[in-house]
Amino acid sequence: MLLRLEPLIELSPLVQAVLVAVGGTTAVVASLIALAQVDVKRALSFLVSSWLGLLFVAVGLGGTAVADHLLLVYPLPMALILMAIGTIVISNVTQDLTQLGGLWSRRPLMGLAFLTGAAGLMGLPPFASFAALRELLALTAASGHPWLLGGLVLLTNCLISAGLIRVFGQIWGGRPTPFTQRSAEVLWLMVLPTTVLMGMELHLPQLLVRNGVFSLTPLPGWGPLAWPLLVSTLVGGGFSAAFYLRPHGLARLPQALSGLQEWLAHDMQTERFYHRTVVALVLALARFGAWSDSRLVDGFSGGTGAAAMAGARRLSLTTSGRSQAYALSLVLGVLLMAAWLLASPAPLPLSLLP
Amino acid sequence: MTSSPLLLLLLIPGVAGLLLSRLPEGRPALVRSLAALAALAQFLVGVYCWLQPPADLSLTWLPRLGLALELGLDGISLPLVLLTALLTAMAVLASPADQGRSRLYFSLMLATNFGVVGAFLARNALLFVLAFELVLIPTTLLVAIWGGERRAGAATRFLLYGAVSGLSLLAGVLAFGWLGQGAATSTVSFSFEALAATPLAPAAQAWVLALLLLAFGLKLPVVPLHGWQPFSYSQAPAPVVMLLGGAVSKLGAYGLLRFGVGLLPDAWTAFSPWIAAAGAVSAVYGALNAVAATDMRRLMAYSSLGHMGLLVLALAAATPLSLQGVMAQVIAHGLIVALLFACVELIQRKTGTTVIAELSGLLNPIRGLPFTMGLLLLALMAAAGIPGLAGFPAELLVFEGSWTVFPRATLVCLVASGFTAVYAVRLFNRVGFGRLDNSRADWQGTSLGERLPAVVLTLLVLLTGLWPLGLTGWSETATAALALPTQLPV
Amino acid sequence: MTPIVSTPGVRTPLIPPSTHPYAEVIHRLEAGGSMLPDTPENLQQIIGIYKAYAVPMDFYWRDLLYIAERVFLNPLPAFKYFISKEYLDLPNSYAGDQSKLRIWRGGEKAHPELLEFMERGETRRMPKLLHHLWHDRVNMEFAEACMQAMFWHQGMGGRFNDFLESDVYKANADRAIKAYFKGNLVMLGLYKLFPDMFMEQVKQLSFYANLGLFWEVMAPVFFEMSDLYDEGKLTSVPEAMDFLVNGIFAVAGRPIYHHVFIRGECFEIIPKSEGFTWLYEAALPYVEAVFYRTSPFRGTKSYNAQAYQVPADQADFHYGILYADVFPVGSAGIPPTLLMQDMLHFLPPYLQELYKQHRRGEEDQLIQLGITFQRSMYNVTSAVIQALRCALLYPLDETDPEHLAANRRFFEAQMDRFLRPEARLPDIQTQDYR
Repeated sequence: MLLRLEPLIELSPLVQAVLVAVGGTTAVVASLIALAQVDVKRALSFLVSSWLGLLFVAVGLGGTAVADHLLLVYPLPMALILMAIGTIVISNVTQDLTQLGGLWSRRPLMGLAFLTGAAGLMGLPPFASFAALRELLALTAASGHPWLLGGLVLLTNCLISAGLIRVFGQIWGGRPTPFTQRSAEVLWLMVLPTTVLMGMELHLPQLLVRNGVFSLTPLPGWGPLAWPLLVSTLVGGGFSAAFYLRPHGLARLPQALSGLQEWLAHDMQTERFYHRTVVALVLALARFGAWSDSRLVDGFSGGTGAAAMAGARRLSLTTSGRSQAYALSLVLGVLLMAAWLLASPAPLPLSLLP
Repeated sequence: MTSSPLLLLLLIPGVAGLLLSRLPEGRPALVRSLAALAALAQFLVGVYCWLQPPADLSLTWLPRLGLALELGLDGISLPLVLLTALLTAMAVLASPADQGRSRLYFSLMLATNFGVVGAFLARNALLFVLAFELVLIPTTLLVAIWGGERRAGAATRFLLYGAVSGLSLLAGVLAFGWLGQGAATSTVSFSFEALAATPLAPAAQAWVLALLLLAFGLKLPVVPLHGWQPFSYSQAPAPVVMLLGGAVSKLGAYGLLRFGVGLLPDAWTAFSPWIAAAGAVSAVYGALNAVAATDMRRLMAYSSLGHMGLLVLALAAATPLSLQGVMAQVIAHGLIVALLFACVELIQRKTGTTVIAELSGLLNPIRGLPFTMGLLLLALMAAAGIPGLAGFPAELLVFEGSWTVFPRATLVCLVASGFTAVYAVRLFNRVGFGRLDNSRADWQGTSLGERLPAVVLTLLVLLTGLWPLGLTGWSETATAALALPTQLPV
Repeated sequence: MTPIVSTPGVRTPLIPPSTHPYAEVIHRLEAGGSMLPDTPENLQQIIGIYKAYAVPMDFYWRDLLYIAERVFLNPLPAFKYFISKEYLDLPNSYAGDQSKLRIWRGGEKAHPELLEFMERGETRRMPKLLHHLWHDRVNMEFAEACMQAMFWHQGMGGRFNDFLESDVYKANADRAIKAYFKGNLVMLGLYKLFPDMFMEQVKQLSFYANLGLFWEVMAPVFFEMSDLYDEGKLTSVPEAMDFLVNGIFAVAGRPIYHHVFIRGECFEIIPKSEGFTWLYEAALPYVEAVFYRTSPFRGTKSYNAQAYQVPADQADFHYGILYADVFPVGSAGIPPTLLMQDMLHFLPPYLQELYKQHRRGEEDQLIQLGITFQRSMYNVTSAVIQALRCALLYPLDETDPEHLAANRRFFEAQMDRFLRPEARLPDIQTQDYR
């Protein structure tokens, strides 16, 4: 939808700037949060957010073709990664990265599938996303803030690569845990489609070149600024590989930093913030409304009702219960009314008489 | 007696109500079926009147008082009459088949119908007042006799507020007639034509309108005159609330439209900013209180209050589009609130409670009430204004029509409309999802007959949502004629 | 030691009453009873559901052995539930005339009701493939889920699990794998690259065999209990439990093995000579893995690592039938639901009558029979507890208070596992729990 709105967005430099700012922040922050996640699905979902942040940046800079390509190359590898992770979660009853590990020797097929998908998302030639990211990098280089935005894209790519290799290392690297002591390859109905998708992913670059999306020489999508991109991928992936592929002391953050990890892991506590502000405001207003209704309105109604009842009770005390008294008061009343009617000159009441 | 279909519309519930008391005792199912048949017959006569619009009926009654039996149907009253007949039938069918004191109960329901339809059909203001007052007695009795634990208090409060409303209306109508015609002629005619032909001075209009606003504001209701509503809606039996919320409260809207916008345009224009503000306050107040409600019925009562606020806003704006919105909202809200309370009736009958904290997991397919909860979900979505259901076109018309005249009030109402989603989701989350307590889930499922009213109402909510002409088509010309030119933007 | 003060007709208890929250249940266990109260309706329910359980179980054990022994390492085992006639006719070692230890009076081949269901299903006679795709068949996925629970959980005792890491096992498996893929260069190449992947599959198949051999015993036991009840020879819940205890002891020493048949040749991956016995290597791990632990069913608990809903320790898992909450467990796709649907097809008439009279009658038979099944599994667990007590501790009619106290400590330790709020032990004490 954002792509469709592109012509509209081009009209306002302010909106474009906002898009770039929001997108850029999301890209970097989300990939940082992904690095802090303990749950594997959350680690991957924040990478999605990060990728979409890059998309926002592309749209904000006016590169519809680039944004299109980013959107094009993303679904297949992401799906592949999630399918591979799915088979791991179902066989090992956990999504917790700290409870997984040492699965390479027994689940190599899924490990390869994950790596293929990861390669498809990191800027790694010849895979498809390298081309898209390189185009984005070229776009930022041509923009008003080449160093800032270009650096942002490189940083994001570095962090995404780190995040993906981290997940790989924590699941397939390291030593087996009690939860991964036994891990047999799962049902063929899950493995077969995953391997088929892996094949498709491997063919994706060729497909895109065939259809003229990217050029071929020397690798699909190679062009200016390719080297910085490749270096950023290798740096990010390399760091994670060093920490996570073999059991490494630093893979578990030191105690002092665990607070930071907790804070990042809970999306920087945005949910708690949202609860404390927006939700609390609505609930407080609602409680005030309920209080006012029960105290003021109900009180008023109850009060008037009680007053009416009390008045009626007082009045009822005046009735003596003797019919002569009633008859007498009736006659007196009628006489008084007749006298008033005859005496008053106003024509209006007369017309009321049948 | 001329065999006008208009008279038939009144005679059917009237005679049926009387005949029901002749039926043998101890056969509640039979009484219920006959009452439903009567309401359905009335509905069919209404459909006939739609296809073959009947001529206005005029019979003299008490010319000295200015009271004549003048009945007529136009684009505004026709859908309301049909709605009332339909809701009466649905309310009767939603009542339990083993209703206690069934003859009295169903007669009172038909008497309510009689009064409401009479008010809608009236072309004479005093006749309108008569019918308006007439509705008070059966509804109070229905609350007082078959209500919940605190029904005595609820009925008393209902009666007091209703009495004030009726007195205020009487005073306003009398003043209208006398101030307009009193000096000129010897007999005052209260027919609509006569009242329209003798416009009042602006100052006089203001006084009359003030009285009428009090009367109809109490009926709708509008904050701060709503004190009776949550209490009565939570104590009265749910089928009775279907009638109260769906049909009886519409008397207020109809009155404001017919008398306020139609007959007192100058005063209306002058008062409209205040009326719009009251509508906006009502909308927000109702929505917020619904968020805080702990009982399903109170939640739905406040929801109804909120929706009436939107209606009042649209009335205040009085543009052709917003008046279409008024009619749409009247029908849509009538259907939605009836559907909500039909679901509440089923839930209460099966589980025995409507307190939100005591219910959970009702969506369970085997031991819960999945069908009822499905319909409740649709009803809540409709109340929240989800497209595809009746609430959306109504709210859209209201907002579009009022935006040009009262942008800030409309904005407030939009926010309130957003809050409706909050309480709808909260309610459904707590009651539908979660864990069903097996030790308390020993009720039977709902049978086809029990579900029927809710199903019919759901189908109508869906139909009018997908085909909004069903909401506005009846009354487009009539409301366009009533729209105030002074409210249109320059 | 205080001497027994014997007043005529009154026996003073030798040790003071228990102070455990489940004291009543413990006293019942000490008197030779079950965790399930002894009422005629309880007996009727559990015997009926045992029979309804045993019929699909007859299919489970046969198909489990079929997969372990014949399907073996087929990479695309689309037809692993299409059991061969040979395995349908495989003689049950504890039923039929040829059996050396006959537990059930009936035949040794597949139960006739099972065959009839496989023919017709809930719908009508159709080709087997259509029955399979329409899922109108015995839900073998449940058996596989039980097997996976036994396979995955660690630390449940016995030597079987550790044997799978040994060199003997690896050598046996290696021979079998090479023989199975003889001539298939792709697979053999893959095996050279990733030997552990294949090894892990063979370990899983060994557990298939384990579970198959376990249920081969349980099916005739349940059939015989149902027949005895129909004759009127089983009259109380403790009697039913005692029958189970006797059955457990009779079969306790049965060897657990894993033989594979590849092109007519038999490969003994786990030979009988290794000496794995039924009680310690199959029954006890099964009870621990399936009755107590299992795994949180997807959709009923969040696997989100930051929600902390899944325990970090396998021993803390409490999702087995003894802790199951009937409503989430009765949802689609969850293994116990599959079993409940299987049992629905084979309910004896007296159970169907019973269910018609309560709650929503025929509409919620699944829930009602699920709860009945829970009761029956508490009875089986009681039998296992009593058998363990008999094997490791002292008889119930002991006179030595020290021994009685040891028994009590054992029972209390077992009851401690039911102190958590999810345990259904308090619920099954009343008849109202349906």
